[in-house]
Amino acid sequence: MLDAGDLARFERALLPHLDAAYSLARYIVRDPHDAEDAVQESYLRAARYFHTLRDDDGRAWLLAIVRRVCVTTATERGTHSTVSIDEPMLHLVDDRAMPDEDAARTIARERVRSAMDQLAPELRQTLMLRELADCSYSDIATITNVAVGTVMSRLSRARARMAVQLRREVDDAGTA
Amino acid sequence: MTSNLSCQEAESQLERAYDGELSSLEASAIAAHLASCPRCTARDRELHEIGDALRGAFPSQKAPPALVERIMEDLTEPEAERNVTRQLSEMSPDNSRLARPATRATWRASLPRAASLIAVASLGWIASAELHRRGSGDPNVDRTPATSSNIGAVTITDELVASHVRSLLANHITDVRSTDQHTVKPWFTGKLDYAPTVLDLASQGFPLLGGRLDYIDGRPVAALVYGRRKHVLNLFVWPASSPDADRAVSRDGFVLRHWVAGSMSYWAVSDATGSDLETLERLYRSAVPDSTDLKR
Repeated sequence: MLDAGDLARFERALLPHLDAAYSLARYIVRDPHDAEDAVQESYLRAARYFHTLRDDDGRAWLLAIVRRVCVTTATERGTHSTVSIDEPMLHLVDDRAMPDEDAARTIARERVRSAMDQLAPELRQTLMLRELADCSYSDIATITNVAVGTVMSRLSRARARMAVQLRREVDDAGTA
Repeated sequence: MTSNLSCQEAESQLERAYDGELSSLEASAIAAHLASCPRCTARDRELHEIGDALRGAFPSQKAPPALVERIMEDLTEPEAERNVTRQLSEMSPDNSRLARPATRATWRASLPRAASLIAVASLGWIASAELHRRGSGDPNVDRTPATSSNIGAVTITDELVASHVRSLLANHITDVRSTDQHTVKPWFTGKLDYAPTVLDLASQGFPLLGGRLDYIDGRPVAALVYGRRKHVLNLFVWPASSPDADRAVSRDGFVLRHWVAGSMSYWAVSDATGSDLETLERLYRSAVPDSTDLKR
């Protein structure tokens, strides 16, 4: 699919972002198997359209593909099964392996996750791309196909809501 | 160095500062303001807390090593075998939708998804082909067959291409997913009033992917699905109602090939090459008793 020179360039440009791609896929489709499939599919597509990538920093380019594939997968799934992108993403991380003394931290994590669940998907994805995938505004704009200004306003809204949620939960915990 | 930002100015930039989106000059102005403003400092701390909380709740995921291998395989292996191997290794009759293979190492891509890959990859031009087809009278297709009784050539090729495209786009390539002709053939029993010949041609480079019930020219017909390199071939089979000339038609990037063998009328549709379809025809002809074939 790629000749030797392209393959080397492809590896250099895109393989370093595998973890980021996989993480993003996990955030969106959640199921580890589906995430793997989505990432594999994304790399395939990336290889097919590799000639359209101009500079060698393919991170945002790749993540844009990953996001598209994931949203498509999630949407398709939504029509066939019960999983949809709007569904709460609790239990994204398997906590079973955690030692007991981390129980409190686990509860805190669940709170954060459920707060994220309550965000609209576009706010959630924007915040995740910024905080978790460490994307710049312009990367996020590319990935989610909106203007930078929209990215900024989504981030602000997402954070404001998270702040409210997390404060409320801290209060709840305090009074409980 | 300006340290006299107003709170309002600072606040509007806090988030961008935190996100690393300010120039170093702007960033240091914010830093200076924070040093003297408890209110903005509290807001800034909140931003950090949200970020930390998120990173704690969603730790970054390390891609499994097997995934790297899969991707590298994809990149180095010719596309053809890959899709086919993927599809083949996955398919067992009837349980493919429900059952997840127990081992994670196996290829889990089921046919519809592998197909969606193909479909999506070619979505753009398929869609444009569709549009183009609808929009134009398409003089290419009107090579009217002298014979077909109730079947106009335009209609049939239209329907066949549409069915082929639909099967790719709608992710509905197969109803019965099986590489085993002895599974696919009986599946049609009771759904059709005839028994299509189903050949397993994997060793000849046409792995059987499954079968589908389709609706062409007002009647249910058997659609057999084969892989051919990275392409999907639909082979439509129904009883020949009258002797009909063989035809090879190409339109909008699809090739169609028609022949009659045995008592059956065959239409193969794909975006593979015409010679692939020719090979498929040859394989079918050599396997099917050719008593009523009036051609050649």
